[in-house]
Amino acid sequence: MSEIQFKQWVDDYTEYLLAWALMKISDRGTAEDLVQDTFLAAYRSKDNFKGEASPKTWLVSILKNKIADHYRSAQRKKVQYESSGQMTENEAAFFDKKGHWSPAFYPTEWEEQDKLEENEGFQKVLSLCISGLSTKMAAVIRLKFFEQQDGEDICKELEISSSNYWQLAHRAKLHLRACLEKNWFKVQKG
Amino acid sequence: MDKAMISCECAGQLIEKKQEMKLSLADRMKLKFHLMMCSICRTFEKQSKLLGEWLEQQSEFPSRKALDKLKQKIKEQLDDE
Repeated sequence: MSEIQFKQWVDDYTEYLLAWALMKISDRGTAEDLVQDTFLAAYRSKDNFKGEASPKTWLVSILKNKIADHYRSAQRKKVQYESSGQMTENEAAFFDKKGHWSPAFYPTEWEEQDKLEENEGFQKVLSLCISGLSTKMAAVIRLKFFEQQDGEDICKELEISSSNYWQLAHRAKLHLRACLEKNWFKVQKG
Repeated sequence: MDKAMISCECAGQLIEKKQEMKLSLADRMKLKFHLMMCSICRTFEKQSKLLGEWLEQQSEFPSRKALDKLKQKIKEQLDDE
């Protein structure tokens, strides 16, 4: 395979691989590095590619190994990653046993603000809040809102039931709501 | 009364569902009744919709520009091989 052909793969598959990596890894920089490593490894062993699978499948299989390596080697990071995942997964007590709002999490009215979608500071806080979600919740948010996939497809891709999907989407919104309230709306109020 | 009234947690899931699909008649009634009675969930519904809009507007993430930069970086690295 020529270098030009291979570079065409970079054009064709970078976006897909990055989206894939971002489902497993919440840190954007790390995900980009792993995609880069994937192409590099693929390039070095491009003679092994026999064209039996599609290039996409082949590249994803390399990426999967890179992600697994990343979690294996960065043991320290892994612990951090898991514990932050647990913190959010650990059902912050939004509701009491009867399913009523816990007073600490009562949604309070947000002050209306114009053009938040263009406000860089707000976008930063929102990204930060998204990156604090557990892996599963972040995956649901990415597929549902960023990629605008159907619920049914998301369930298949993440191997979850539809009730689990609604629960994850709901909980993700609860976390994001609380995170934005704390880190944006309350701060704005001063 | 208690049976007709769903919990806030349950209402929240219906609020989420309603933004993606049409609810069954029974669910619509349950939610409507709950929202009539519960101002906290009314606030939550408003914010849940807002969140959805903000998240969708992030759908350019990763942005075209960031993506092009990454592609360029990878190609440059391949040149060094």
